[in-house]
Amino acid sequence: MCIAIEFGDLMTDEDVPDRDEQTATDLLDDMRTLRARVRTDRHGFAFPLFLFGALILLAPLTYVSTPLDPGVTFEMVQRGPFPQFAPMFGNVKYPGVIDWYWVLTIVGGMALTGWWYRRRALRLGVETDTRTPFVAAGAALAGFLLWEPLLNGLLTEYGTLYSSPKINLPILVVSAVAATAVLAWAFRPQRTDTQRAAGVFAGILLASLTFATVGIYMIKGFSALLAIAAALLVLAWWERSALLAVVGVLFTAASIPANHPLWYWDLGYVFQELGWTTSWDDGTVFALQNLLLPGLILLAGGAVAALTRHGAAPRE
Amino acid sequence: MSDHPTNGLNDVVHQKHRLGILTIASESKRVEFGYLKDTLQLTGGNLSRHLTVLVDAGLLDMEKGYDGRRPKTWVSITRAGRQALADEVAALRALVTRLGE
Repeated sequence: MCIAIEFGDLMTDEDVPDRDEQTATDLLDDMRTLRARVRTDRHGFAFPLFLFGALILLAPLTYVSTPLDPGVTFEMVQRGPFPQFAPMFGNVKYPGVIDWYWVLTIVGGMALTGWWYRRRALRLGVETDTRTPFVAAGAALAGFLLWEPLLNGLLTEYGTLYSSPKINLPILVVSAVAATAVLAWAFRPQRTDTQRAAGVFAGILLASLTFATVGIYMIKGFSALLAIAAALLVLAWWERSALLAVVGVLFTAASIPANHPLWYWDLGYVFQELGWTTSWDDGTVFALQNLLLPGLILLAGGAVAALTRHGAAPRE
Repeated sequence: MSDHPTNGLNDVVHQKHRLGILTIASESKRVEFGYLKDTLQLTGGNLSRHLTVLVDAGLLDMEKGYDGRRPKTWVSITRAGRQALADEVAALRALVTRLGE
């Protein structure tokens, strides 16, 4: 279906002002219609929802564990190259595999998403700018992998700032507010290219610091979910999609209790209350209980997007 | 005496198809010639003329390439183009406000 916009002809002196005033409302209405049409056409988010949903639900397969010795209720796990992405408890056999799985899920998932949008643009003729969601995921990843160990190493002698909210929370709040202010400043229309580039760079660094301070509380080792959540929320804003925004918010809301035992919001406790019990040393079940809901939210969102043709294949 | 809102209208932008082209381009990273042609229901020659005006005014960037063997022309909006579109929308809204008074 095509929409023809019936705008007024080029204005001439004879037309001014009455006809201008009559056509202005029509012009604005038609621009709104045209904008909505383009937004619907360029939505391509069903693919990343399916992709990340599937990768999250496959992740428990990497949490192979060895049984604990008799009499031992829990023990600290061996650490891989990115311990932020591995569980603190549970006797996982290959922590390095888990770490790399999450890093590759984020980096590879974003690369595949970029490929998908590019391929879709060639077919349809209109392309979404996916750089900003990728930058959001990159800022989160850098925060977790670079800033977080740096903060823990520099600001505390206990190895983690988890129990030092007087240090960590002020950094979290100040960096989040500063990142928002700097990015808002950078995107003001009157900024020069140099000012904008400098502002965006500083804003990303500050946002990355915010992610690091949040990551310190993600003690169950699924902070990669927050990097995916950040990318989805930014993509929702970039795509101007209410559906993707709802999916992103639900996914974020499920990712927090997957990472931190917030009383009964801990997903493991919820499943145990429902009768699905497990022990700390069963890494696969532990991971599945925490990742099931976030993964299913993405798959359900992808299914809704595909069925309603929002963010799925272009219309013929 | 205040200026009439039409004084804020830009002759390059204030044309039905050019406004449509800028609106579409502002909603995407880049948009292909064929998509613009179908969406705005223009002939190829007519669309080319409008694109030339907008590119010459610095409101659009044009990039030519190939998808396999098929030639493709992509356009993207510049910062000046976004500003011109925002100014035009502001002028149109001022006109609507004036009508409502």
